[in-house]
Amino acid sequence: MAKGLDVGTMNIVCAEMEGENVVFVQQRNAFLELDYSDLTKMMLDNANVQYVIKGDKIYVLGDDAMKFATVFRKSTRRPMKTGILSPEEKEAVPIIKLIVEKVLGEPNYENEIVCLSSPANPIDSDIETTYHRKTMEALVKKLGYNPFTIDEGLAIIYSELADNSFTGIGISFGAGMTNVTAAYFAAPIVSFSIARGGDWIDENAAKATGTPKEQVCAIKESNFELKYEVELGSVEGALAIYYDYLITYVVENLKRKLTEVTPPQVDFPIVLAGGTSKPRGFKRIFEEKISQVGLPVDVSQIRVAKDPLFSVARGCLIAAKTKEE
Amino acid sequence: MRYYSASFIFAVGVGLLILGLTLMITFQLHYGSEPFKVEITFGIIGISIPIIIHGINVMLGYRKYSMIVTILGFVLSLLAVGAFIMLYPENWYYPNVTYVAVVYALGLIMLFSSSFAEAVVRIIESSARTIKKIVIHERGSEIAKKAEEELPPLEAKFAFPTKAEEPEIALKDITMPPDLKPGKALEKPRIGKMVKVKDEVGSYAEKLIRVREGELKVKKTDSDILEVTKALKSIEERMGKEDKKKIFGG
Repeated sequence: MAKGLDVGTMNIVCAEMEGENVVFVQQRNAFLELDYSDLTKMMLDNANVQYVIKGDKIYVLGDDAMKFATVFRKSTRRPMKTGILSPEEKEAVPIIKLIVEKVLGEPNYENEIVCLSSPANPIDSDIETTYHRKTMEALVKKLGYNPFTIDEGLAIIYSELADNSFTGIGISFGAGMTNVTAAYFAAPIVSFSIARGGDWIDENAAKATGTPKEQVCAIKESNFELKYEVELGSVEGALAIYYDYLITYVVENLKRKLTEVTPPQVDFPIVLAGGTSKPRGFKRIFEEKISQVGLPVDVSQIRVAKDPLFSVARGCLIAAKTKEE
Repeated sequence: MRYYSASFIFAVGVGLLILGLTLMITFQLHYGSEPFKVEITFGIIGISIPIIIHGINVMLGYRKYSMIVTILGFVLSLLAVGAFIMLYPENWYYPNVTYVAVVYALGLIMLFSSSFAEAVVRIIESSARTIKKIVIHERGSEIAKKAEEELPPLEAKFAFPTKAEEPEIALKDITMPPDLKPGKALEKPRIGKMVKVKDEVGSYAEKLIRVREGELKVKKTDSDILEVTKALKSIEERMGKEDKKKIFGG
């Protein structure tokens, strides 16, 4: 047995085998702070809500935090920001430890292998990912596992490009970051991240339209379709503009990074994954940008991962299984 | 340490060159200048140039072959400077001047060649770093296997060219705060949205191992396939019906 763990800014997903099935366990990487009272505690217990009490505060964890945030009209807090542990959040480490513990569960045996996803160092920010990676490894090790990490983009290639001998480009459009890896025979030739993702789109669309960020996020995650014909001044319009900006930015940087190396002359399919790639029309706009900008490799196809939310965790599980005895 | 000594040698060379040029201006050298002024000035300038190049070579790092050339070049330059000091002014005429000039020039050529060779090797190595593994996978021959053994691990060449060994952290301080009390729901060993999907992850993992070991190949580009298709089509068109029957049957 082995497990794959996608540690994302918005979601933490574990993947493991159960007979012929893969089981994905998903939890929101968020928490909500409430003032402690016996009544609140009783209410949360009755509703079977996950929480911890610390002093005079109650921290509601994971998906429940998102639900309660709507009820209490409060904003959730996040242990991670732009793909790594949030330096602004002092409760980040204990909270993420609790969420990871509950998503991973106990190891099936001592030193069970776990492959964790990790962001690559961003090219447009001074964020350094080593602290995040080492901390997450240490957290998982403390739970009795034997962890190792791979880049998020590479995990997508492992998950989606087996038919092409793990050769191609994997792009993970996450909440905090966008991770890109180009690999040839499973070996990364280019791996980088961009410190912009779904959160960046939400923040800017919220600022532009004067709408609360949570509401923008809800619109984006409901039935939002990415298209050029949008109502002026609408949230959808702002979202479309920032989506377009992000995709252009990613494609241009991908071109720049691929030009720096000498990519082999083979087909490079592109797989898009991550929660931010879920809106309808995303692939079409990505294709348009690729044809406009042009890449120094032969792009054979562009497709969205079978399940964009679980693709990284699945890739991590595949990587973990290769290390099994 | 090598970088400090290289920087020091280079700085000494530059210092001597500046000193020499300063002396040249101070002494206002001309054909009739006193011999010791000419000897000191040109002696210092003559020594400074090989020292500067030597500093650059030390910084680049010596390889077996370039070390001999560099040392020989350095020694030749110094010998030439020494010979100039000895010969000037009484014996400073043809053919002595030519001999000294040739020896000095030869010394400098050797020093510059060493630096140039080192720079070229570095450029080739840095570009080969990205393509070495690819070539090996494509060939899959005995030579490739041998080369593979000699090459550093794949991860060291791709994406993380300067990957240093990372520290193992034993995070003692990630103990949960003592006043943290988990709620009832957290007593369950596992919590979260569960999705079960029938999947062949095992075969993917096997394939990944085979690819990493260089057993699988990727298909060629569409343009290659198109080219082959065109060639086959033109052969087919040129073939007579009878030939077609013979080959394809029917």
